[in-house]
Amino acid sequence: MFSRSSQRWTWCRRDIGAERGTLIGEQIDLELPARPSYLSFARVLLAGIAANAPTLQEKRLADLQLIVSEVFTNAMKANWRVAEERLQSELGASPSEEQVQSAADPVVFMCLVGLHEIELSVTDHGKGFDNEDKPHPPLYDPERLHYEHGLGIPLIQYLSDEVDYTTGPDGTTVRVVVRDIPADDA
Amino acid sequence: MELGITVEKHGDWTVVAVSGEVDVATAPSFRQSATEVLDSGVTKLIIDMTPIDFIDSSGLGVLIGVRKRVEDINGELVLVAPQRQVNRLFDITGLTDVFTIVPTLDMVPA
Repeated sequence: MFSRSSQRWTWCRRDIGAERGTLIGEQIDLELPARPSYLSFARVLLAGIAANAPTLQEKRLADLQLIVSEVFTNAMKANWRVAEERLQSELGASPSEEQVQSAADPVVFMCLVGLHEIELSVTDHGKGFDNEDKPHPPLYDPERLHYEHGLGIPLIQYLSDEVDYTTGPDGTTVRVVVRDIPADDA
Repeated sequence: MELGITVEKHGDWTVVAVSGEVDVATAPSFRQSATEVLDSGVTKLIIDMTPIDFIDSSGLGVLIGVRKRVEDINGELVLVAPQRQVNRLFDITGLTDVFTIVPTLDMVPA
């Protein structure tokens, strides 16, 4: 049986250069199945796309790979929760991990390539979270070591030049911007 | 990508060497291997991350869990981590201050 997840690639040129200054206006849209086995592929793929930003340093490409890993993981988990609730209701029993991953909606990526920056938006169908009410202590709080989870969002925030979360009725979009390092700081 | 795990002795220490990429896809295998080693009675554990190509917060979560297990048994834990990417991740998350991290396995007295 084929899953509902799909892979989709589109490319277009958006007239956003003037609007954003540094962006050269190439937009790549991508959907990947919400399966952990696609995580490594997503990192390589997005780093490859980002390499088209001519001045983005290797260090920032490595940061972007880590950000991609974290946002894709969070988005997958959000879509799994939605699929699990739906299947639980349909089956009247707890679904297996395989059933959940097969039924989960794909994760949607939108990547804008700029001369000096990459803007990445990742959308899932989850209900998001309250950014002011995260369940774990912040980085560097010794209490942090009692938790194995919850490092992803602080890492995304630390490594990104801009990050925002938008939650609506259809899901949550995380938008991050990664810029090159100014020559003086490189 | 497959995760590679080998277990060998280094004097009194047991070395779990992890290779490949540690993320949400592979972290469960890493956690299981470390748990099995500790369940076997090991109290002096080295996690050698020299061959790791990539690690994200899922992998860090496993390390935090292993540290807690080792603390619970009054054991010792050392991480071998020569890569800049891995050490930067430890710095950002503040884990540099709570783990014993060395750049090469040779720096751990057998």
